[in-house]
Amino acid sequence: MHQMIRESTSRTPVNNLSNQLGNLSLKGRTPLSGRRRSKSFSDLPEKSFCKTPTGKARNAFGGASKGIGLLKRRELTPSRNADFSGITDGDRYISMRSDEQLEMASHLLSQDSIILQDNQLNTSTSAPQSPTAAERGKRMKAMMRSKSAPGEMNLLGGPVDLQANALNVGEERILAYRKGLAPRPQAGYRSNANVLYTCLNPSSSVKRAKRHIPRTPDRILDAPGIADDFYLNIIDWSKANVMVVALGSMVWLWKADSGETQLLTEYEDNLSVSTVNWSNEGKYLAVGLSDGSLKLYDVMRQVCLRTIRSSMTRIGCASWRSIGHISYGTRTGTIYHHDVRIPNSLIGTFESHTREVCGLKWSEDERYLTSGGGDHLVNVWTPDQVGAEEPSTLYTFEEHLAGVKAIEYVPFQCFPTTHVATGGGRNDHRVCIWDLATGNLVTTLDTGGQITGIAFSREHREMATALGVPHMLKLWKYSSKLERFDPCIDLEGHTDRLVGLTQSPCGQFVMSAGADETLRLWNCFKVDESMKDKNNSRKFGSQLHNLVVR
Amino acid sequence: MTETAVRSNITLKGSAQMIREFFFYGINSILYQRGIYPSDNFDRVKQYGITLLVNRDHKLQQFLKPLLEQVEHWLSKRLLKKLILVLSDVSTKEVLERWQFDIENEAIDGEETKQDEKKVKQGIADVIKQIVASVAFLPLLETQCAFDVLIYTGKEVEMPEDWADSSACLLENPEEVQLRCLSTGIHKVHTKVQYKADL
Repeated sequence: MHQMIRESTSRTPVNNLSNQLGNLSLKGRTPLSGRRRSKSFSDLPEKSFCKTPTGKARNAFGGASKGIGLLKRRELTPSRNADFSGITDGDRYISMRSDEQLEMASHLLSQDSIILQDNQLNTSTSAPQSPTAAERGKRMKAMMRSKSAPGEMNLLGGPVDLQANALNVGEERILAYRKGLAPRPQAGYRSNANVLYTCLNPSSSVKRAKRHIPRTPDRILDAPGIADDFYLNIIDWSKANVMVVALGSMVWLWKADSGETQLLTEYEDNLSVSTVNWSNEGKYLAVGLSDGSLKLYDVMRQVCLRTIRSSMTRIGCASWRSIGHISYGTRTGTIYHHDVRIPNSLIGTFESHTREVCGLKWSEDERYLTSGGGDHLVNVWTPDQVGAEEPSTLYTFEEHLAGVKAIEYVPFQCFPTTHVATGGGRNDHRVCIWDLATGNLVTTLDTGGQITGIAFSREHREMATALGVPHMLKLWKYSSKLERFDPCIDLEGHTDRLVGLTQSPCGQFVMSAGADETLRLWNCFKVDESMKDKNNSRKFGSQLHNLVVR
Repeated sequence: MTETAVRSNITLKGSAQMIREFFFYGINSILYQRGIYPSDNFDRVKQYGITLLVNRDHKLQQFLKPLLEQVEHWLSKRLLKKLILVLSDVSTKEVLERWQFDIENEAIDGEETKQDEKKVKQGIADVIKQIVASVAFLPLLETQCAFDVLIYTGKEVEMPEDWADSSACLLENPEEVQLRCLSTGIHKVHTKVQYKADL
């Protein structure tokens, strides 16, 4: 984007500007002229109250003034004060000093410091002294000063013993009250004076203030060519803090640390990418294509390590297990499992879905695989079924009335066993939370829209749901007491439905992908680090903590 | 002869009392601000129109009370020249900070003093506010400190109990900041703080 140059005078070529200034004449210092000038301000077609003096000087920058329009040639540098009548030359401030003060100042400077009158320099608000008292006071003061100031002669004559151990200097006697016997503070007390402000009222600090969730995204990234398809999973964020997005037949990486983007790979036009999924440490990327092939990339070296062709139909979703196994779901409803380290990689298939598999996720502890399909079913599998002859599901949930794409495990501490959240599509609008230890439905939530992504915040016990229609990201707060979700905030911004959601490795950001060809980064789960520290210190006991730290 | 306004005349005794109070609150403020005692030992008290912090530790108050009584006694006799609050490191005994209150005798007996009590209180409040504000520039006291109170008097003063001759506890190469001057009409107190200059 062509940037308009807003220049300060310091950047101008010097000789040019001085010529311009030389041409200026100071005319008309009457108040009226000031008003005239202010009128000329409003004549400016553009809003920048520029610091350059004349239109001519602006043209010297070459090109900056194109399209700005004519600027009136001004006699004086424009000042912010519209009533400025130009007493001085330009905007410089010249201080007004009366002669009387200058004389006084030089008089005071020339005086010897000891003879200085106290009341002349007295800037305090205390009462003025009577002259005789001032005399006396001044003499006393001089005596006292000479005693305490090292290097000065004693007014009464005789050298002043400046050693710190000297007692009874001159006329003075120094007495100490019970020296060294002041009562000590209790043992273990260390002053935390490096804390500037201490809260004397501890109860107020315990109350957790409502955190501010910014309603606008931190970043908006362009995503041209993004597929507007409910059944695809085209964004993912790795533990190495790199985000991947599939745009048509291209795979782009966005490094969250630096903000750089990089094209990883591009395919021919007849192929499009239908899913992307990072391996657990973020080293390898699985790219599922519309022709049913799965390509594995080493992102550091940017090479395709392997292509797996087990399926003939597009791969809509994929999920890694940490030991080199990957599972992916296809349009026919089959889920394939591969061990990518061995040549014959296929190790199992699950064929329980009758329509396209659009949601697939292994749990963190790899004890469960949850899959959601266009047949409205949610299947939960255990890993031992992977190589089985006739794999059977652990559970099959038929609660939803639409395709289930959003699948996310719930990390809340209030759930002791593994829970999974599944989100239904267009006619369902509901999030269901299942306890996988028992297969019970714990809670449901009607979000009011087609759910295309779910993200959780462990610290805040909140859930973000990406919705299709209405085009927003809704945040919900879970109350463990009432065992339900309460609406928290709606994050609007997308102008078309949200098609995907992914979460940063730190958990504080979510990136939503919209059919409006944008990716928006929301800082909705911000964790206050200082609150975390305070909580920790309260756990260990504040004094003990201090001793340990210091 | 000046006017005989009854209320606004401050006597020597009254002035000594006010200065003693000032020292009391000043010392407590310094102890709080510099972290000599834990901040939760301090209570809030409203005086002179501002909120002041006073240590509620019994032992400390017992320590300060006779000290200040003696100070008041000397003030009323016009014998007190300076009051010093020395903050020194507990382990190395090195002097880290020195708060000096110089007392100047203003009026000689027989002269009328024209100082308004209200103005004096305002003056005290100003100096204490400055002491509190001084925490902005005073260096952090890294180590645990203890305080001592020294006074400078004339040579002929008799030494009461609990008081012993002492050294001046000076700082070498100190940075010095002069605070506001406080006047009751009879006594004038100049406050200044000396601290270790950052090398």
